[in-house]
Parts: sequence; structure tokens; C-alpha cells
Amino acid sequence: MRTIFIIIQREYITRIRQKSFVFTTFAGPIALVLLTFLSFKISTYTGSVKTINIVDESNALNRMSLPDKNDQTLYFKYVNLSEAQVLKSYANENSDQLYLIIPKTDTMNLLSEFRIKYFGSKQLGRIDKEYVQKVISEKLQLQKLKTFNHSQEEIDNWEVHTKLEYLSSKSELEDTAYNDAASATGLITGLIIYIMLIFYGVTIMRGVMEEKTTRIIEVIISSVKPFQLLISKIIGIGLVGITQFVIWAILILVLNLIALPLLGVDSSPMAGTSPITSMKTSAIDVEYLQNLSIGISKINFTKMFFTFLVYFIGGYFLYGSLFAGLGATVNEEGETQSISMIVTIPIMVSFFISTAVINDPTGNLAVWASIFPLTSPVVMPVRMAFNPPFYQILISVFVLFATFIGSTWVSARIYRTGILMYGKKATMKDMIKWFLYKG
Amino acid sequence: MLSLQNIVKQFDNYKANDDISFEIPAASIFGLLGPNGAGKTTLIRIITGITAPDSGVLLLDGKPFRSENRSQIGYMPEERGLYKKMKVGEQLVYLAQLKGLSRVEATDRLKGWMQKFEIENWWNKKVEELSKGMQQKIQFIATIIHEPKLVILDEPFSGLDPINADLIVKEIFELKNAGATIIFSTHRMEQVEELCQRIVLINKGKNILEGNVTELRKQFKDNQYRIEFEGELAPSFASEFEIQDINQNTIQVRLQHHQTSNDLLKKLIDQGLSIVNFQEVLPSLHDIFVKRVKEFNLSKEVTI
Repeated sequence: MRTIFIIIQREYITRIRQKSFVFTTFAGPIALVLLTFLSFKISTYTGSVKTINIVDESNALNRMSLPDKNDQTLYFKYVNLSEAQVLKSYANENSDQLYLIIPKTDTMNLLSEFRIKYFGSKQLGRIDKEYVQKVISEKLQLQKLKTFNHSQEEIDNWEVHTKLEYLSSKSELEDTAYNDAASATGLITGLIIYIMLIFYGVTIMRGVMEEKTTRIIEVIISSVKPFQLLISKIIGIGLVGITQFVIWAILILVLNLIALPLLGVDSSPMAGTSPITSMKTSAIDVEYLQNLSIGISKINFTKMFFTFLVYFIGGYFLYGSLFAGLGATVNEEGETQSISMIVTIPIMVSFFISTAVINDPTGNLAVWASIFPLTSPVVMPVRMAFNPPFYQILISVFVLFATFIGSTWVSARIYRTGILMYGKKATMKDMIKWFLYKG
Repeated sequence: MLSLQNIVKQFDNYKANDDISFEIPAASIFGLLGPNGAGKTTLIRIITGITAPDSGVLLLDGKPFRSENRSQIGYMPEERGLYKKMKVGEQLVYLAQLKGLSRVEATDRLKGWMQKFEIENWWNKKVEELSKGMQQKIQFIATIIHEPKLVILDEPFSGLDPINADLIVKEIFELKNAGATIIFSTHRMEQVEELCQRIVLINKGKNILEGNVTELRKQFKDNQYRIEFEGELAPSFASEFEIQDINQNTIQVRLQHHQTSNDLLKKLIDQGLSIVNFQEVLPSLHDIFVKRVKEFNLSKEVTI
């Protein structure tokens, strides 16, 4: 037990100290956040501070104060000019002022329509345009309400807030927004497991090969049993994987909660949309976004996290032991490429299957692929977001763990002999023979 | 101290070890010899507990070998092995911990060894930065840092310059004097003669010769004498005595059964030569090795 702990410690510490680990673990999420920030900044680039001069000939807004944009790049100002005067001055002096004209209307009623125009040497950017639309629409709406002699109290409370409570039932599958949220979450979990299985599997294989080719293996196994070394290596490298995942999760969370808002980016799906106003401009988008955010909130992330852990651990031990067994059969770096394909192909196939599973999460392919142990570590997490029957989860986990115990046992027997065999490339027949050798 | 009884290990269709038995006395340096592919490595792996024999018994101090005994063994394989990317200090502490030392104890002892070998400044160097000979010293420390009762050294001097080789020889004798048993495997017979008290010679998986080095040389002697003289050797000498080697004033002669050393001396003196030096030539281990292996291979061919 003590030696296992010492080996795990070495495997773990030497790897997390590597520059490549530090780089991928910390630079990854930071790059992701920077990318989000940059794309946000580019899409919202305004360049300079703008003043919107409002020409309200019909006094539809009743000189109500209009809120400036909170990043202080856009101000509203009422001007006492007529449309004609504005057009004239605009034509003459090539000014960089922006003018917003609310044309004359008859007395305000429910059917009143406003065709609002704006002039300026430059067009407003998309975000600025949406902001101006939103502010003006809101205020005009208020003015409309006031014309019907509603009390101030009524006006203050005119907005209706609804909160939809989601009930889990078969109908959830028809809920496209929830479906999309579930698909995305499932697929991302599956993708992470897929990448980590291959990455850390190959890491194990290289570790085994390093010990074999540098011949330190003979020194080590004159001190510890090959199985102790194998299992400690798998556990040590697995802990590196879990550490990396946890750091990623924390970093992304922290960066989302702290860094992005500090940088002025709201990353939530509801960013910058007030239901009432935007619905008029792009009603479908907003409704979808609302549902999507409800969909996301319906996904049980605690459950997903544990699903990830269980299937990552199960899949990692299963594939890790296979990678280790294979690593023991090679003599030099060049041979790993072709031989690692034997194990990477089923992992890749699982990922292809999982993209199909998203479209049909209860179909035969989905059910069987989430139980078959070589595909379940990637496929089941994808299905988890769609709440598969509990007995299927139970069978899947049981089969996976039983298989990994078996595969570890088989690999350990091949490993034990393979690490001491030098010279020719091992064939399948050799591996079977090694497996059958006595202690 | 170590007793091997009827060790058999079979791979596919050949026996790497075919009924090998011998004893290694405590606090001695023991030579394990044999041509390439004789089964030495397999035998060493059985002694170190890396592989198990198909049959036969390995007794350590009269008790069957168990995996707990691994910490009493230090093994330096022929193909050196260290983690290339790991730092020297860390690596040696790790290997010592695997042999049962605590971290503190391992660090303490390692500092002592590094001082002794005058390599204190290597602690934070990566192994790949060191030359082959330097790595050899590190590997030697790794083998003995846990003060094993049984030390197995497979070609410990390959790649070492004479100064460092002497350093290791000195350490080997110190280990022996401190009570350790050393198994020394090599092809370099002059080192075996210099270091070992007893040897075993393995060929094609079988133990073909075993014994005390001095006794073996006596046992295999074939009446050869070297004489250094002053004067001119008469041509008639060659008709009476079998000359093995002649070089100016030195001659090596092999006596026939009916001849004695006195006959030889008398003949030379009668010829008017003055004898400067006269000594019996014992066969070198090299000669015994070659002779025995050839004989064995021939006899095998005959039986097949």
C-alpha cells in the first residue's frame, strides 16, 4: 500500500509540474475567456461617444428623461428643432451629430404607429441601434398607456412577470429548447470525456513505454510488483486528469462570474434583452432564448458532474489499462502510432455514435451503445441529459465497471511479461501467450 | 546466504534455465558467468523476484524467497535505466523509498553518498544532462542506497573510465566487508579474477562449472611454465619440449606427462642459460571459460 502511494505521488507530481500541463490547464480557459471577450468587444465596437439628438415634434415622449447607455458611449439629448431644420443643417455642415426624428402624429391612441428615422454621418452599430430602439420603444409604450388615463400605480405595475415551472414528463422531448440545451450539455460532457480518454490513455501508454525503453522497469519491478506499478500509474495519471478538469471547471466559473462582468461582458443567454421591447424586433429569437435558458436551468448539473466522474473513471480505467497493456508490447516510439489506433478507434466510434444519439436519445442505438462498455463512457453521459431510465444507468455502470476490472486484469498479465520483452514487435499471438504465462 | 535449487524456467520451446543449482556464501563476491544468451539475465530476474521460476526453490538465508525480501536486494541491470527527465536527487529518493526507506532517511543517506562521490552539485540536474559514465554512478547509488544484503551488479563497469571504475571497485569491497553478498555478472574475466572468490559458469541454461576461483585455476592447469633467461636458446630445445610461446628471452613451455619442471630447468641450465625467472602458469579464467563452453557445446552436439 505504501509503495502504491509513493508511485502515485511520483506519477502525479512529475506530470502536474510539466510545462505542458500548466499551459493547457491554465492557458486553455483564459484563452477561451479572452476569445469571448474579444468577439464581444469586436461585435460591440462603437469607436466613440455618440450623442443622440432627439427631435420630438409631436412631443410623444413628453421630454421624459432617457437613460444613457451604461458604458457611457451613448447619450440622449432633446433638441428644439424641426425635422426640416435638421435636414438642412445636416446637409450643410457635414456634422458628426446624430439626429433621431419622431415624426408628428395625431393624438396618441392604441393604434398609433411611430416611424422613427435617424440621420448622421455614420450608422449606429448593431448593439447601439438595438439599445436606442429599446429605450425609445419603452418610453413610447409608457406614453401610450398614460393616454388611457391609467393611474400612476397601474402604469408602474403594468408589466407582467411570468415564471414557467417545468414539469418533467414525456412532453419534455418535444420541447425543442430544452432538447437543445440537453443536447449541448450532453455532447459537451461526451466530448470532454472523449478527449480526456484519448489524451490520458496515450499518456499512460507513453509512461509505460518510457519505463520499458529506458529500462528503468527492471529496477522498479525488482522493488515492487508489476501490478502495483501498473495500477499506481493509472491512478496517478487519472488524478492528473481529474485535477485538470476541476481546475478548468473552477476557472471557467470564476472567469465567467468575475472576469467577464469586469470586462463588461454579460455572458448569460438573456444578455441585454428586456422581453417587452425586443420581442417587437425579433420575437422568435427571444422566445427561444428564454426557453433555452429555462432549458439550461432544468438540466441538473450536479447530476451531470457525477455522471462525468463515474463514466470518466470507468472509461479511463477500461481504456487506460488497454493503453498500458499495449504500451508494454512496443519497443520504440514509432510503433505506438499504429498500435494505439486499436484503442482510439472505439473511442472515436463512441463519439460518432453520440452525435447520432442526440437526435434519438431513446432509440435502440442509444440504449445499446450506452450499455456496451467500450462506447458507454462517451455515449451514456450524452444520454444522461435526457433522463434515461434508471435501470439502464444501473446496467450500464455495472457492465462498465465489471469490464474495467476484467480489462485491468488481462492487461496486467500482458504488461507483466511485455515490459521485459525486447526485440521483435509483439504479435497478437505473443500477447495471448504472455497472458497465459505463469506468475 | 543464497541457495538455488533445481531452478527451471522455460520460454516457448527453449529452457532459459535448465535445472540450475548453486550456493552463494554470505559476505562474498560471486561471479555469474556465461556467454551471451546463456540464461544469466533470466536467472538474475529470478533471483531478484522479477520473474518466478517454473520449478525449483530459491532460499534466502535458508528461507524461501518472498516478495518482502525485495527490499534486501539491490539490482543494477546491464541496460541502465533511469527516468531521463527526472532530477537526480528526486529520482534517487524515489527509488530508495520504493525499497522501503522513508523520505527523510533516503534524503540523508543520498546526501552522504553524493558527498562521497563528489557529486553534490548534481542534485537538481536532470539525468539526461549527465554523461553515460555519470549516470552509471547514479545507478550504482540507486542500487545500494538502501543497504541491501544482496547486491546484484550486471556489467557494473561498462562505460566507466578507470578512475571511476576503481571507485566502484572500492565500494564493492567495502560492501563485502560490511557483510553484503555481491553477485557480479560480466564478460570481463580479468575483473572476475580480481574481484570474485567463487564463480558459476552457465551455458545454454545449464550450470557447467562452479567453484572457488583459485581452486578452479589450479584444477584446470596443464603444466605450463614461463621461464625468463639470459643467453641463447639452442635449437635442439624445441625437439624435446613443447613451446607454447617464445619472445626474446622469455619462453612458455608445456610439459608432457613424463616431464617434470626439474627436467625443464635442468635442460635449460645445461644449455648454459642463466635463469632470471621461473613460474608455473595457471590458466586464466578466460581460458577456462572458453575451454569449458567449447567442450560443453561439442558434447551437446554429439548427444543430439
